Amino acid sequence: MLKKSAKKDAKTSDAAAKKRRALKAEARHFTFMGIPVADPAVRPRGTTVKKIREAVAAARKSA
Amino acid sequence: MARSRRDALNVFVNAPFDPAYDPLLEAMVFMIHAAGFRARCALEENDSGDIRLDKLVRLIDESPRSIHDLSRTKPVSQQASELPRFNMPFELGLCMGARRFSASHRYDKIKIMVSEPYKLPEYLSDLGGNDPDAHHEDPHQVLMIVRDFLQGSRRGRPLPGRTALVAAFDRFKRAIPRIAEGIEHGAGEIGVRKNFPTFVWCLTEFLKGAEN
Repeated sequence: MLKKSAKKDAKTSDAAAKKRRALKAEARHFTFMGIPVADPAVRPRGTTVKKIREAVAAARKSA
Repeated sequence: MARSRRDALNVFVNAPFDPAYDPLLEAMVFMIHAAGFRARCALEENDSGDIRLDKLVRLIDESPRSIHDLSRTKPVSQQASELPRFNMPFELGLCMGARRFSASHRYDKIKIMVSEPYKLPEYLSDLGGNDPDAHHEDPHQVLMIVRDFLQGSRRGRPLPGRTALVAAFDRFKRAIPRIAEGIEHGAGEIGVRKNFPTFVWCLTEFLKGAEN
C-alpha cells in the first residue's frame, strides 16, 4: 500500500515539475525586443490576467 | 515581518504619486518592464492594515535596485506653512542605509533622478558627490535614464535605442484606453497611480505581444 502511494506521489510530482518546466519555457518565449518580460509581483485588481491578455490582443488587432 | 521575497529582477520605485507626475511614472514603469525587470512600489498593495513604513522597508528589502526621483522636493508655494514632500529623500535614505549597514544589501544599485541638473547639492548637500540624472520633466528622457541604469546593472541586457523605445512607449499609451475598454473599465480608470497592479499587467501583456 505504502509503495503504491509513494509511486503515486512520484508521478504527481513528475507531472507538476513537467508543468512548471513548460510554464517556464513559455515565459521565456515572451520577449520584448529579445528581452524576456517578467510578470508583475501582484495580481491585477478588478479583472483577471486572462481577460487582460484577451483585451491586449483585441486592442492590437483593432490598431 | 513577513518572509522576504527578494528577487534579482525587482526594482523599487520611489517617485511622487501626483497627477502631474503620472507621465514620468508611466515612462519609468514601462522602461523597467521593457528591460526585463519588475517594478515594485507602494502602490501595488491595498492593505490598510499594513503600516506604510513596514511596506516600504519590505519593498526595499526585496529589491536589489532602486530608482529615486527627487524632483518634487521643492517649495510648494511662497507660503511658509506649505512644506515640500520629504517622502522621496526619506526613502532614498532608507535605501542608502540598507546598503551601508546590511551585508545582504551591500551591492544594491541606486539611481537618483532630479528635474534640473546641479540643483541637488543646494538642498541635499550630503549627496554632493553623487551625480543625479536630470529628466527636465520629459518622459522620454526618463526612459533613457532608466534604460542606461538597468542596461549597465547586473542581469541587464543590451537594450534598443531611443527611437525604438519611444515608439513602443507611445504605442502602449495609445493602446491603454482600448485595453481598458476590453476589461470593462473606463478609459481613465487604468492608470499607473489609479490601479497600479492592473496597469502593470496591461503593460507586461502588451510587451509580450509587441513583436507579433
